[in-house]
Amino acid sequence: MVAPRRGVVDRPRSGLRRWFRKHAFEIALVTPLVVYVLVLTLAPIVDTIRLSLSGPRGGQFPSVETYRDVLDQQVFRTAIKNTVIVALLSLALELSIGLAVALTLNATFRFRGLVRTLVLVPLGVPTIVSGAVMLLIFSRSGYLNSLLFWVSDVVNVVPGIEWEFQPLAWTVAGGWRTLFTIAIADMWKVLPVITLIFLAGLQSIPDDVYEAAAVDGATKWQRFSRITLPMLVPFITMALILRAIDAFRIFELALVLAGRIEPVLSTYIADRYLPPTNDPFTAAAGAVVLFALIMVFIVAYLRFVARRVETAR
Amino acid sequence: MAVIVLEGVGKSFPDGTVAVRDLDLEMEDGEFVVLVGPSGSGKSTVLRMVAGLEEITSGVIRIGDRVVNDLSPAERDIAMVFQNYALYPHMTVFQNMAFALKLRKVAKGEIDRRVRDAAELLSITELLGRKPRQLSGGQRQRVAMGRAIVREPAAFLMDEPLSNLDAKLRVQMRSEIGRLHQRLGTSTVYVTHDQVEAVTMADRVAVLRDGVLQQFGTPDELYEKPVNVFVAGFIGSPAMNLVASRVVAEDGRLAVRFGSHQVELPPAVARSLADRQEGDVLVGIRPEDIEDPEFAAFDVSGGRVEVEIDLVENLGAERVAHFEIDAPPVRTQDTVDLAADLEPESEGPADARLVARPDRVGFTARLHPRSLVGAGHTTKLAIDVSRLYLFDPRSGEAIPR
Amino acid sequence: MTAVGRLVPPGTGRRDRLDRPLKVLFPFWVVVSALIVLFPIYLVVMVSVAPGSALFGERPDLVVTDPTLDFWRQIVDSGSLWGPLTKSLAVATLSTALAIVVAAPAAYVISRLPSGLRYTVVIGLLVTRMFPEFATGISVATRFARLGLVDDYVGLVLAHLIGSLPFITWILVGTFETIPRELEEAARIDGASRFGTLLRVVFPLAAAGVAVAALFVWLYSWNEFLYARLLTTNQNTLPLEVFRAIDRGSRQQMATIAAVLTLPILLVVYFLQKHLKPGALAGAVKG
Repeated sequence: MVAPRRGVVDRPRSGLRRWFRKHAFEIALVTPLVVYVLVLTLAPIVDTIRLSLSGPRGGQFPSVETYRDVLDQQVFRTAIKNTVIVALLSLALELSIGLAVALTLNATFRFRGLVRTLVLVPLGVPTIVSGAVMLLIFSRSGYLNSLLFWVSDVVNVVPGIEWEFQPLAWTVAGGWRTLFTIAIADMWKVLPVITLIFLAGLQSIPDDVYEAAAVDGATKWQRFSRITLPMLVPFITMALILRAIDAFRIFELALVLAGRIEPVLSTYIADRYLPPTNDPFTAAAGAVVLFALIMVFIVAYLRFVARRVETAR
Repeated sequence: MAVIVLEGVGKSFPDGTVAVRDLDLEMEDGEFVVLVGPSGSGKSTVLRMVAGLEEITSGVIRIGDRVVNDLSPAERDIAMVFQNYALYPHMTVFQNMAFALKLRKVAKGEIDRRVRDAAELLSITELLGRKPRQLSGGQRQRVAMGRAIVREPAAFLMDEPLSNLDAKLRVQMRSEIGRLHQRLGTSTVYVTHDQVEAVTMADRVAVLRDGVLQQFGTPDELYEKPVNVFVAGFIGSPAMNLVASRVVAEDGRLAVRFGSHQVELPPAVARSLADRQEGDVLVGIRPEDIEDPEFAAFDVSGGRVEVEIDLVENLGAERVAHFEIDAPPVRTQDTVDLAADLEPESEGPADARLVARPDRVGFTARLHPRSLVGAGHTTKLAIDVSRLYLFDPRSGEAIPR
Repeated sequence: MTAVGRLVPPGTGRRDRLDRPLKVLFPFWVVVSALIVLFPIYLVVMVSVAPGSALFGERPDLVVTDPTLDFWRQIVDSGSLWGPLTKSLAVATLSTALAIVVAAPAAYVISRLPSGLRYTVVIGLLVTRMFPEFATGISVATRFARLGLVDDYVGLVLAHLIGSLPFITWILVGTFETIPRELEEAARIDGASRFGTLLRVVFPLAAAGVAVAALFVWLYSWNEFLYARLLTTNQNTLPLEVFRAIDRGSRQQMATIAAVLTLPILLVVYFLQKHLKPGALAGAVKG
């Protein structure tokens, strides 16, 4: 703080300085956070954008050369395509299954408390561990195949059915099967989050609305589709946006389950950045594209889908 | 000696709203002063400015012989009791009461003594080890008082301290605070929106409205000599009956006429209206100044009105009769504000109650308990004309008697 | 009452066509979904104690008949676990402590802002979550490499704060909002300084909320993989160790380390259960 010069009235004259003096305590409290966010969040983002615009080997700035390069790569285009597919697939799975589970837990039945606790379990499993487990389940000599063998044995007891089960390589097959595996793994991991969001939504719907609908003669299905679903819209939006942000960024699961077979944007970026490639420039371009993808999705959702649902109500 | 002095104190917010305007108030040492007014009148803001919780936009506040404008609340030598008590939930009752002393580095033995004395005074000694959540509303209230008492400050500031209690407890605590004040003799500024609380507890009452001081005086002064229609309507329960009237001269004597009724004015009153002959005037009549003629303790010859009784509430010690007068109600900004304050929850514009019947005005009268007047009766009621209140119809200000 | 419930809460509508299938399918659905949720946990534990013979071939056994603790013993004896365990513990604990110290005072100020401004700031905090970690990570990793912060506790702690600070701030704003301002005013009248008020009144009252937020942040750091991967060349954290085992270890090794990483967290989540509000989760869990 600047000491007032001799002869100058002690009272600060400029409004800004008075404001600073008055709020010195608050300013001192927020400064560490503000500095941190500026230095280690915003500055790095700007820096990453700068890196991505620095040309393939650094040097000339600004240049879109790096972007031209990555877009020319088949593997980058595949990564974009895969990212979008996995994101949409896992979002669809997660929202529908999550809603079903939330509806279940919102009903009253014996052991509900226990089931509720169980459903939360994946929350305590680190993502990398769930990747490892999914590898155990979905690999060629994995437990899903083992289970299917067992099912085929049982089915074959029935006369007239002959089904010789061939073990499937779920993860390394490439294509849809691998992407689907990633989406399933992601769904398992985030089911608790989605369920809790929807559960909060369901519990926010007052009972008397259902009672009124029942008195009006609505069937169960009608009550679900005309009351539950419309009233859940804000929660669906919240879940969707939160999940979409994460689904596009999917990294660990894709890394473990698909490796280089089916790259997504995150694994592509890591692959470019880390040894042996060691190319921060294309990695930065990839990160910017990923960010753009997330923004486009959210803006599109809010503009077209959310608004339409809003007006339809 | 004045202990708290406000000189031209004003408060306006950055968005331009003015909460308090040019307020002068001087309170004597040991006095119990109540700031009263409807919500939004600025009374709490005044208290918070005295406490130092709210900055003063203009004017000077003095506590003792110091100007405290730029002092922090801690330096002002005041203690405050909050509306929701603001007890520290994580401290025991003892710790709550000891907190301020501990911050002032008072010796441990002294803290202990003061807290125990205050607890004794408030009979909460057995609660000292409890946490606030284990206390009832009334007990929390006492602890909040105790926290102020141990400070031995120059003044207590109380911000609607009883408004969170139920009606019965409120009456009990009211008298208890009164007793405490007599015992301790500490100057107290007390904010409430309840005029009954104000007149029962205060040495002097300051009535505020829209950030402007209306009147500052003893409860008797406010009751007997309200300076305007607002104060007249605000103080007293049931509220004063107000009716738009006309001054008429008959046989050299003055009378006021409202609707089909006419009451004569005694010479003392008439004198003050001498220059308003054939003019409009607002007449105010306290409910206790209307009586069943059979029980009237005043001279009933001056004014009688024949009315149809709508409803009689038997309160045991008195009977409150409701009836209507066929005259337009008084409609100044004052009465509109009063109506809004009386029925804050009612729907629609604040003056809907007045607009509903543009040609009739509701009256109440407190009749003798043995009066036989009942609902549906058409009967004559006597008015104590010597106690009429008269107001200027344009300014709403009282016409001195 | 059997394990059959009303899928849609109360109502006394006529019997409808959905009643019967719901009644029959509901218990199956509950049991099957519970099993699916639990199966992976079972697998981790099962595989970590399975003898090698049970795991290979086209049809690995779903049940272990002769469990062995060989791999647990091996992992403990080899000492290769202690390095990563120490690093994970240290980084998670340090970054949590730092996050509280930085975020709590700021969150308090934000909680006292006028509501419009407060809402804007909170939204701003959430928006930082939209940035992919790589957008910050690429730059942070190159800079840290130059500063010698790779393979360093400090580097990883700083990196983890990028993710945890906005989240914990957001949670704590909610906590501080519940503390009435009158308490601060009472403390100021009682003679406490602004800082004293925070220390003696506001923070003690927020302690429970801070503890819950701290646990979330600790979990985040304990599980974090991406920054760890970018900022590590040889001193692994536990998640990196799991990844290494996936890459080139045996199934049992992988499962054993995964169990070490997971079991403490399951306990934490069990105790956190009642605090699991959707709002808190939104930031706590990364896909």
